[in-house]
Amino acid sequence: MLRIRTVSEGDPPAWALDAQGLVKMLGDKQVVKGIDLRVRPGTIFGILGPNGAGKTTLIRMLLGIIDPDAGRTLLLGRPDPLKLSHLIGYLPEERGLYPTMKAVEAIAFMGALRGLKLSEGRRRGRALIEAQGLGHAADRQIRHLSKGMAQLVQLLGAIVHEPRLIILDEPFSGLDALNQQKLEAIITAQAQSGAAVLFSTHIISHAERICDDIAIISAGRCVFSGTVDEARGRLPQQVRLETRAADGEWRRVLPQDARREGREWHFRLLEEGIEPLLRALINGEAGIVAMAIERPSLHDAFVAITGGTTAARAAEGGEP
Amino acid sequence: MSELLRAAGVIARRDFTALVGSKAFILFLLAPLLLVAVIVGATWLDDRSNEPEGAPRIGLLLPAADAHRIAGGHDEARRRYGFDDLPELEVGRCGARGPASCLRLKGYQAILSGSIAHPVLTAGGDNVERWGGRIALLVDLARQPASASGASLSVHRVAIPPAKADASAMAGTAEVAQIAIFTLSIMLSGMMLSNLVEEKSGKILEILAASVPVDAIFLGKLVAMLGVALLAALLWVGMGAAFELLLHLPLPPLAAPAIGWPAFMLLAALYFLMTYGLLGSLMLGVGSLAGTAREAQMLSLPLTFAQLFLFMLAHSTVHALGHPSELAAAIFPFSSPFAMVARAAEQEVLWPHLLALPWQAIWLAITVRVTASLFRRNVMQARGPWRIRFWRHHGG
Repeated sequence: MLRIRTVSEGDPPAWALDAQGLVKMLGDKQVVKGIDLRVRPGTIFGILGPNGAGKTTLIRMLLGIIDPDAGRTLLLGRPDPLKLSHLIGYLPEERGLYPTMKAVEAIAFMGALRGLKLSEGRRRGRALIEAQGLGHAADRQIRHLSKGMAQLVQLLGAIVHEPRLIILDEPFSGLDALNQQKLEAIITAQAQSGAAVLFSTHIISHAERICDDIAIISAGRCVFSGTVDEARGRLPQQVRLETRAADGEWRRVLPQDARREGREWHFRLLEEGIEPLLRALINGEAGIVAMAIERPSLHDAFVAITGGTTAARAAEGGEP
Repeated sequence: MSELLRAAGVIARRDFTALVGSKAFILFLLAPLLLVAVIVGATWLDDRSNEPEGAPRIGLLLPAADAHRIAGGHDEARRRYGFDDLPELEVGRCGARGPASCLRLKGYQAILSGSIAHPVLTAGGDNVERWGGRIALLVDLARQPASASGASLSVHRVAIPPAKADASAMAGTAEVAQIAIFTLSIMLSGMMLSNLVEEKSGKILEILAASVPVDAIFLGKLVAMLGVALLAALLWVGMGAAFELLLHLPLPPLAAPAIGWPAFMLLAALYFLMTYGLLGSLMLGVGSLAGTAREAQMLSLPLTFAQLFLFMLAHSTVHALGHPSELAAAIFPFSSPFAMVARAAEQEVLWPHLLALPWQAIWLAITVRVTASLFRRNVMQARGPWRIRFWRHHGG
């Protein structure tokens, strides 16, 4: 079981979420295999993983919807999520709203479930909807809203009671680019106001843009936990080189696994740095047109981490 | 506990308003009205076929000779004066009952008792005015052959209190109460089941389960449906009263229950609560196992048949109070409310109800506990436990 702390042991214990050793069996299969997570207040934490990695099961355990077979979870320092219902917001992966409810009523109802008075929920719900430029839809029934609008309404329902911990399961799925941008803005604003936000996604770009910390889940295991920069730092930096000369003595200094795409070469940055390569290229009259040192994207890191893990398990004869 | 009740209240309020505002509620309201309309229609046709129009009956509780002379006066009035609208005369066979009791039991318009010398007319409501003159004429005509004179007709106007009907009529009341409780509880629990399955398939249940204790969801749904039942009952009673007052439509005749209407209605309401609580919680337990409406139908079918069987068991013992089968129906918790409401209609004693209600309440608590636990365990398994493999592979 891989255990990687998102923060050092010396950090203050005021975690918004602290889960240790979570295990879940479904039938005879272990779908979550000893996962640890810690989320700091006021930060955005992304759980990344391919489809079927166990993200939804993990989130359901964190919220107490289903019980883990092993491990424990503290939300805002306490073990019973339902007793802190008024401090937690949740958007499930599969959206669920009553189709005949008006948008503002749906938000107020979700707030009421978490202890907010209905009248206050309606007032805040209307304000939230209007803040999103959807005031015209406040009194429309959910069944008459577009999928994106309905999803936004559900997200507003998850934050209407001003929770301190917000858990969102695949919040971006099925949304167009504009609504994704709105959602990112809402999530960022919530974190800035002091709430801890944890969301799962298999779309890496969102995590790359807004997450402070991430955990990468693959086949029920946490295979990476840390900051986005730390994840990207798992891969060596990449060099992109474009030359006028197609060939020459200078090619001997390129790494053996350098890849050619048209007039461009792609290869990882050598351990000794860029200067020896640069000198060899100049001396060899390669004719440098362009040269760039690029940091790997989170997407590259994700593919490398999850792919590497899968390959390693396959090599060990385990399940992929 | 207060948080549980608060959360249950939120869910009950939502479910209640959604159900009352739905088309299903209109159908729910109309279904029993159609049933009542059929009963009323059948009763009306039955009355028309059994009772020729214009043939009200007057009971005679007179010595045989006097009764014979009154009958002679009756013929004389028709023959000599051409009265065609005289009531039919019938020698009352009421045993030791007095005129007022006989009047109610046999359904006479009036009773002529005493003797020709001292006749007494007993009638209720406006029947004194309606028949007083004609009966006085008959008495006068009956006196003429003997050239006898006598006291003038003495009139006793009686207020007709709710009559204690005979055992057969009270059994009819018992049957109607059983049918009403069974029909209402089956309809309500069916609506609740479909509502739950809709929420489950619509993924709304996950929002609820993540926000409030599952017990609160369970309780809220039961309370909401109970509210729907109360509202529907009020509307039905109101509409029945309106029909009666405005259209003078005949309502199905029901004999007064043995313990009187107020106590009977209270007990019937309590037994309905027990039946509904037992059946409703079982349906919610079943609903938690089902992933689709079809699965819910399949799973609830045996339950509905079982309930139907228990109802029929209790129904078949209405005419057999004290029989071992009736006692078994009264003791078995799921048929007990039906059997006991029949007892309330047919027997004056109240103490069996003081035993039955706590007994049923204990079983209600056990059933709610067990089915709530089942609900808690299965409600988030989207496709039911037997589909767990599917869920495992698609759980995300």
